[in-house]
Amino acid sequence: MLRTIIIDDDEIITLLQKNLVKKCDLDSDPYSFKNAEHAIEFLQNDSDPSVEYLIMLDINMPQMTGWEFLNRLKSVDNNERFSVVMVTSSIDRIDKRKAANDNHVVDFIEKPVSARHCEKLKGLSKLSMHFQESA
Amino acid sequence: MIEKNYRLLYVESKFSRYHILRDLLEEESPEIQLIYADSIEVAVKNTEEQFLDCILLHFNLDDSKIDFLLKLVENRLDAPVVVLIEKVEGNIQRFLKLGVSDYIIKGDLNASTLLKTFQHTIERKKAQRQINNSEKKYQSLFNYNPMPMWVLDNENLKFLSVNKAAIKLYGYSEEEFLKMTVRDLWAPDQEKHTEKIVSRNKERFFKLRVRHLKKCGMPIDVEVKSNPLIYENRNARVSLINDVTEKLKALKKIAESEKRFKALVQEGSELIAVIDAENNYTYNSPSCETVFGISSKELHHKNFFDLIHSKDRDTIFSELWRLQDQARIQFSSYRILTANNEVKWIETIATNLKNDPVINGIVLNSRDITEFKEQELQIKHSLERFNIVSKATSDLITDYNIEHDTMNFSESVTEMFGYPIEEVGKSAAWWNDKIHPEDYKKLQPKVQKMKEKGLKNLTVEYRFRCYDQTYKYILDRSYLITDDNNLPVRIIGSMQDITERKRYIMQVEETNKRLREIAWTQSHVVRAPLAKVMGLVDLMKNYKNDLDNFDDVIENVLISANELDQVIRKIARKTEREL
Repeated sequence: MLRTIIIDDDEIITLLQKNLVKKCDLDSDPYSFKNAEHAIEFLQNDSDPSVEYLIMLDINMPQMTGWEFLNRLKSVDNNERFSVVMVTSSIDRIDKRKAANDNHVVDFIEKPVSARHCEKLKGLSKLSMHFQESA
Repeated sequence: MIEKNYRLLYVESKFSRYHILRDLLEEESPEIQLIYADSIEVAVKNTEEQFLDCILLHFNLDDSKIDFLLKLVENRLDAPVVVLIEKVEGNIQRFLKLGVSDYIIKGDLNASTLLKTFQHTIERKKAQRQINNSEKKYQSLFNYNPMPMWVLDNENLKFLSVNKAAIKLYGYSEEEFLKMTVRDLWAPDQEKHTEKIVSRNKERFFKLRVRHLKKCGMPIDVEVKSNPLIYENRNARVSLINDVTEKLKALKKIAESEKRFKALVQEGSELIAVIDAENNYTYNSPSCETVFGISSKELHHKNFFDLIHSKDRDTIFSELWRLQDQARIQFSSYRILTANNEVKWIETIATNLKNDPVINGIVLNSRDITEFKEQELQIKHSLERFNIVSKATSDLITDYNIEHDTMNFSESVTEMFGYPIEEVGKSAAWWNDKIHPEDYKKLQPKVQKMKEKGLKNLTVEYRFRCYDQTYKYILDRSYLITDDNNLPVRIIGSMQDITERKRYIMQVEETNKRLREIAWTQSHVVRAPLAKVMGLVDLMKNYKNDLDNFDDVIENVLISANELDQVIRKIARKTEREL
């Protein structure tokens, strides 16, 4: 089973992405966090170990940046079940290269996240199996 | 016949004989005074007491009286002793040898014989005395002559007599001399040549120079003049010795000094000349040929000024005038024209020796300084170029001597850094102290590498503290000069003030930084609200019939659009302010 978590300090973004995730059938009720710290706490303590999570992660956030979150993620138990999609408002080549070297990052999306992006995510090798079943 | 009063002593044991003789004499020569002594002892006493012209002795040839006879003769050297004898016999010779002047045989005795004998004897004695006196004179002339003299046996060259001066000069005593031959005095290598002269001139005067050894072993050179003579019935030679050792030494010294002088004047590179009152050469050392290309003979009587380059002639002429009141002057360096029309530079010191009768002119000591002058010109040209270049570039040129730790620099140091020229230090420490400490830390190892490992070129930038304590940015390009052994000797540097350029670059960099910030702001800050608007619009477009919260979405579009507007306004303001 795959669940989706949206992390962005901007509520409009979380609202927008929640709607898209629902409409595209990625997750009928995705989790959303304004503060990445809370997301880490959730993954550490309250996540279901048998469930895989797709995390849509914003990079520029005031408390904990996307990069810090990625570092912290490495210390969470069973972290191989997490797939991260970096979501940023501008494409920065340095950011992209940095993301490509991280094992958890499966994609890099420039805002705004669209339906097309969501459909594309379903086709990624790491995630595709979850959608073949339901399809 | 006898003109004066003679005093005769008659020694006769018998008084009667005295009477007979007195009578005899009174007849013939009454002026003769006959004094009587009855024994030889009394006679001796008599001779001591009074003046006598002659002594007549009737002597019976008794040996016991011989001593008295001798005494008599000795006492009366001036008065001849005549003996009266019975007959001629062998003993007569003995008497004569003992100093008796004559004898009369009793049988022949008469007044005239007696007088004749007296007269002869007295005259002979007188002559003898004269000879003796003359001999004595000669003897003392020999003995006390200040020149060493000796008499040699002409056959074996043994010393027969030496004078005091010879004894003093040679150090041998008279006894020692008389056991030696003159050969003993000859120095080892003198025999052959001396022997030859001596043997060839046995019967003649000769003169020779020979080296003798004194008793102490010291050699002396002597001139000997030698004449043959008869000395004590022998063939002998008398020699006069002249010690010429000191004279020879002095001559040798003079010869050496002349040789040295000749070498200095004739073979030295220095040119020595004498000119007369009309400035004509009266003497030129042979080295003039190498300088002028004209031999000293040809140069003789030529005019000094004719050989000087026309452009320098007036200067030297006026300088020569200064010799009127100065004994010695140095001319400014001047040019001459050689025989091949070549120009040469000459430096001359002129000394006025017009009052010296030997010189009677002006002595010119000159040197060919052409090579030096050319080098000087080259250096001058290169320095001029250097100065022009350094002026043109406005760079500060430095020349650091590693061994002496001395820094030379062009005058632009004041213009560049504001230090009064007299306050600028000459040591490396002064210059290093002015470099900004942060830059010096980085620079120091590189300079060390240059000084110790022979790094040839170094281009560095650093900040240098000015007189007003501000810093200027300097681009320093240094070049290492090494000696023949490739060891570092000097560092030539050019310091360029790049403060303006540096400031401009920093300004450009600052601008770039701001532009980057603006660009980032545009891409990030602007795109964030724009992305939201785009996302929301996309959502509405695709799911307009299927959205539970459509109004919320519309509201959010508006919020995001306002946000975008704010961001753009802010950027506009910032850009306007900062660029």
